[in-house]
Amino acid sequence: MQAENNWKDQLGKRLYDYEEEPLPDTWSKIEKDLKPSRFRWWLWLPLVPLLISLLWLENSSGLANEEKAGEQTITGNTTPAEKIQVAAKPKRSDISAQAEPGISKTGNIVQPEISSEQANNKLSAEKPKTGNAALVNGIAESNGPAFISPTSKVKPGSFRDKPVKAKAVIIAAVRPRPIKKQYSPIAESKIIEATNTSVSGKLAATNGSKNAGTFEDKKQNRKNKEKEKATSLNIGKDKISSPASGGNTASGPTGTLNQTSANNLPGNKPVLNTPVAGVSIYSQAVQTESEISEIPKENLALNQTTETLPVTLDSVSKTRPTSPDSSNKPNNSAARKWSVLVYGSPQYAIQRVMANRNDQIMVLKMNNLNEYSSERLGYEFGFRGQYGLTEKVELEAGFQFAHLTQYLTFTTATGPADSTVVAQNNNQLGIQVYNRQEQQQYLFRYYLAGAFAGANYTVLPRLALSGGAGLNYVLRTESGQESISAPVSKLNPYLTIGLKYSWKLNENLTLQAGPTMQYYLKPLQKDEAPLCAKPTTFGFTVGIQFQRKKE
Amino acid sequence: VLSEAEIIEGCKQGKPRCQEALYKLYGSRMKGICMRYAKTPFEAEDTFHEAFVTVFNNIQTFREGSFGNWMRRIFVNCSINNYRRNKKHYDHQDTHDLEISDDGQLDGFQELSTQEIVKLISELPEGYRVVFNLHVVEGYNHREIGEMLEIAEGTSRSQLSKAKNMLKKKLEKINPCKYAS
Repeated sequence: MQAENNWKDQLGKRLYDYEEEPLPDTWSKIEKDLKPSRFRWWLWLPLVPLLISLLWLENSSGLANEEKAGEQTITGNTTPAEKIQVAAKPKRSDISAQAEPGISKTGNIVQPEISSEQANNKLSAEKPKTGNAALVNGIAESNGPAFISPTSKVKPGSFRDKPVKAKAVIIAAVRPRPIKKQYSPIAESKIIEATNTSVSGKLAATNGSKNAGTFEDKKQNRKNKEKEKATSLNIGKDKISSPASGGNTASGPTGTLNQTSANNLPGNKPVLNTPVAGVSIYSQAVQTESEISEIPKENLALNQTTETLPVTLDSVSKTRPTSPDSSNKPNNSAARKWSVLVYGSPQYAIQRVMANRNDQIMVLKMNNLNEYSSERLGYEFGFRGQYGLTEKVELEAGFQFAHLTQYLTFTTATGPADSTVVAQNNNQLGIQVYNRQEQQQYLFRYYLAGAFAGANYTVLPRLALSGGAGLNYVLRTESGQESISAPVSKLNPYLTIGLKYSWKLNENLTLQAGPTMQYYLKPLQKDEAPLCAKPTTFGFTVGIQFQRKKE
Repeated sequence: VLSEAEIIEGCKQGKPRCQEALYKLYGSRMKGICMRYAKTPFEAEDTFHEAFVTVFNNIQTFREGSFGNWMRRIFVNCSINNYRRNKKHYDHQDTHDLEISDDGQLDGFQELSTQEIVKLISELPEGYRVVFNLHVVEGYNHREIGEMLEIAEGTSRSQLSKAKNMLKKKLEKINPCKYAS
């Protein structure tokens, strides 16, 4: 027993302290496995446009609220039904430019509980310089509680806080009239100027003072002529019938004529009055079947001969906006065909494996065929040029850069027998053949660049189905395991399909987001590779589409 | 030069420099363990790699005591796991020529270098080698070995005896004069 303990202790001690130098490259292999999980910064890229969009939307809503505060109402003296909310939204800069000391240019805020005078006084006291009621150049108002007909469906507070509220107000006030073509082009252009000013969807009061200035601009006149042709507006007569009962007349919050111009109106017809405190934009003259407005041209455009510029309600009549939020509809203008999309997308790759080993190693089992692994995350970013064929169909083409990872672990076995055991048992001879099994890892990272062409089809107003085909070129390959080398097929075609949901950020920018799937038509490896894997990627694309609005 | 405690702390923080220092400090010792349990140097290399990665991944769990012993246990466990994985291949080793005639003595290894002894041990059948290492080198008793390898205690005893007999025969071949007496 003592002897056994002796040899055990001696041998045990020698073996316990036995050391052997590891192979030189062992540490490098271990180090590879020890790499901390890489920070995939690019996964956060799609959040950038989202954050920008959110900030944008927040700012826009903030502006809208401010503009809502500046909303003005022209209140009649008779019945509450004749009150009207003037959706003028002056910019502060314009307001300050227009405001004169001691003269309030503020309209009424809708406050049905109090009288209009009280309201006017109150508002004037509280907001002495919040802006003009935004008379449209050339659009006159009659006396009395005009601006909304008793049948008008426009109700205070019914507008969304978008900068297009003025449209609905004007529409409620106007009536279509046939065109009389006796006007000179210049005169018509002025009418259109007024019309377009009122319906262009811009902030009326915002552009108020500016428009007064732009009337002096010949260039602007030319543009307005073009608009006239494009919109085929129905220009009314030089006179307009305004019911004596009041209630229907023209006024508009969409433009302003400065005080000088208004005072220079001929015939002492105060068609466009300078607003005074309280009741600011009502005409003092009550005229049935009378002229609404005759504005000397010299008051509107400098260096031009005096010419009466009739402005009628009819001129506005054909400018009915579709809806207050019609500007939110994407791609609703045929004139806006071209756009550019910049996008990014994290992608997760699943594999379809085709074992085409021609060596003597068999793949017995795929261990992580489509399990989740962070190694399978990739990304793609690029840009697309888009061209709208119709309102619903849009062609797109562009370039992209992508990172794709293929990660598979599998069990292999040698084809020839690794060991053979012959066993004799009860006069029976048994031969067992064993193949050595190994677990292998297949990790390749591909960096791809390629081109894409496809189309988008608008299914719903904001939802589009996208599809197309692309071709990626393998720029670089990284192998996670040196023992496996797989020749790579350089060109890799793929099909893609996805959905795009659009949020209009402003007139030029649209945020697009949606899921996409890319189906590679062939494996990234060549046929002689021991293992071929066809990737299919699923991603979520976020991008910003820029579409320049034509003036 | 970093102390062992600093190296361990650095490894806990995932510092590559400390990880490499730990590898250099314990690498050869741990490779020796893997060599004793493995049949081939390649198998030892695989176990060594796997065990070192396990050490770095679990170093946060090390609190106190001998870090060398903690590492050693991981390497032994990895070797045992490797044995379990490949058990089906090892159960059919030729044993018909082995006879249980354990006299408790195993002399003749004094003349051999440790590397030669390790080579002799690696030539043992897998089960014998593991039991021999666990009992003679690591100091586990047969009950503990039985629990670790999920075998009966008697099986562990018999496998140790067979391992010693095999080693004796191998030693006889190397140094026939000594055993001739």
